[in-house]
Amino acid sequence: MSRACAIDIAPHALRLVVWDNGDGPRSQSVALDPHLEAEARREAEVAALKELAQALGAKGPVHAVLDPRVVLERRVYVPVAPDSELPSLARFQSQRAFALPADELTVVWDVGPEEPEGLPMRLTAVRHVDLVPILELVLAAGLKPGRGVLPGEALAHAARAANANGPAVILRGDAHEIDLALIDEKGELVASRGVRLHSSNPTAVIGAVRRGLGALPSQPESLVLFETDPARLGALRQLGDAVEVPEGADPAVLLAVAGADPSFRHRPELDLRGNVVQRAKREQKIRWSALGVAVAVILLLCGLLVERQFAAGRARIAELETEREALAPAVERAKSLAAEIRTAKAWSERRGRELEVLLLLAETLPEDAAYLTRVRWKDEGELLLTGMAKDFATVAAFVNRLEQHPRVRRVTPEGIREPKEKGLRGVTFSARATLNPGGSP
Amino acid sequence: MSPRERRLALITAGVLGIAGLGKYVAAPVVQAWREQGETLAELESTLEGERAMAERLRPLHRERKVWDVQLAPPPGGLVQELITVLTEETRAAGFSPESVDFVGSAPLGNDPDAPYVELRLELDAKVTLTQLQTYLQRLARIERPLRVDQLTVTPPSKGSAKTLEVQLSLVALTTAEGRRGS
Repeated sequence: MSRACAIDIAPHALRLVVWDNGDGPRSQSVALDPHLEAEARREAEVAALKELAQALGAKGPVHAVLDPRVVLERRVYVPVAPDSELPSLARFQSQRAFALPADELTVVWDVGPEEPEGLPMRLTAVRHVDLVPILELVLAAGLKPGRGVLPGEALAHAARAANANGPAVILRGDAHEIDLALIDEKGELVASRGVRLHSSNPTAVIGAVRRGLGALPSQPESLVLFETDPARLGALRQLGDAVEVPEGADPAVLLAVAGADPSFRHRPELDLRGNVVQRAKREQKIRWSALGVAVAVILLLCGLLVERQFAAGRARIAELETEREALAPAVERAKSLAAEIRTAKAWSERRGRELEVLLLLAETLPEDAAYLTRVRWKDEGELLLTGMAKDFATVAAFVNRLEQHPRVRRVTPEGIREPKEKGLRGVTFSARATLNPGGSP
Repeated sequence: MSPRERRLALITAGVLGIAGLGKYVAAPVVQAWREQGETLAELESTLEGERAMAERLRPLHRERKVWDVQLAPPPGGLVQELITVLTEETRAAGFSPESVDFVGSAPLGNDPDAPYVELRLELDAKVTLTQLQTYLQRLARIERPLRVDQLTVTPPSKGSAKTLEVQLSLVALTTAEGRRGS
């Protein structure tokens, strides 16, 4: 069971170190083509890490050695203050020290022992965009992300592990870059630098290293070289008289070995996943807030739009009601006149109905078989008829014809009997007819 | 609170929020919107009718004046003229009335505020059927608004079987204003 792992992603290779309990570090590397496109490079890295993890049986959290080029380091002095106030001082100082916006950086800090100028604070910053690919690589390989390993801290740890005495400058390099770390007499890191090599010429290497040394806050006499290339070792030895070269250390995996060492102090601690997750949470919070604001604005706009439509509707209703009020007298007068005219016309149309009644009787009374002895008619009322007929059948025929006439609604025969007077023949009858209102259709 | 519980709480709050928003904000707004639309449509429809009615005011005035002229009583008095007309028409139909009586007048439909008044007259006569028909036809043709309201025809108890006893109840229409003036 491995306890810790560390990867070092160099342009030309991906290295994995697994530190097993009691057995020490085991390392392997896979060469990478530095000229690959970004997507192909990423796929190659994932495949390499999977391969290495399987080969070495890596299961623990994977720490990642950060590329010195993406690590920004500043050394400042802050006033002596209680520990509880140091985080806010660090935040303040980091905002001043780094030109990038605070929300784009992961900043860790550490303070050294008090000095006459105040507390020396070492601020180390890494951009989120540089941390995310490392995290994604580890996750894509199916491994658990650990912490970011700062190259200077790893170099100082390697020096301590090699029992190098401080104060000293520690150097580690390969054909492309050289890392420098300044440690104090207790072996604690004071400052670090990364130097890019553009040429393998010893003079150029010495020049580049001297520029790196010049950027450190102090230049102690002692020099610890983690270097195995004899030519470059020979050139670097020219930098000073007190040069120490620890035995048995492979400069290529030195930083990864230090990062995988269970005794390595991640101080200041740069939690790969925590930082990215925190940032993701912050961004998600911002997205949610933006979404909330957008929804609120949309709702507000919708509300305003609806209210505007309502206001337009209310204005239109008020306008119509005003017009209606203005028209009301004329409308009332017109209605009154129309009603009066309708009444007069209806009255006038009732003229001549008595003639219709007489015509109705002439049409329906059986000729030479019946005659009427009394007719009583009232407009919009009933028609009362009394008469004599030859027989019952004649009366029935008369009533039947009356009922079928379109002007008649209903006929009610009231009585049919033989006459009381002797000598009279036939039957007397009486009937009541209800006429349809409104005259002839 | 675990992320799962938080997500569940958020979803529940979202669902409740949407439901609340729908019930207490969206539904009343939609209801108010619909009611306002209906009110507006109803008002526009009513107003359209009222505008048309108001536009008819002038023609109605003219028509009403025509009726006023037709219904106005003559200078000599309406009752006198009606009695004269009825008598003249009986003569023209070939008979003489036994009586022509003015019974009275009443507002049309017994409505005291009615703009018209009906005058009622009764006429009794003994006529043949032909004379009755001629008389009624002539009455229907005269210009004065006059019509038969009741008609009773009975054979006479004595005399010729071809003669009929006729009782007519006639009504004439005039304006209430004109009636008051006469």
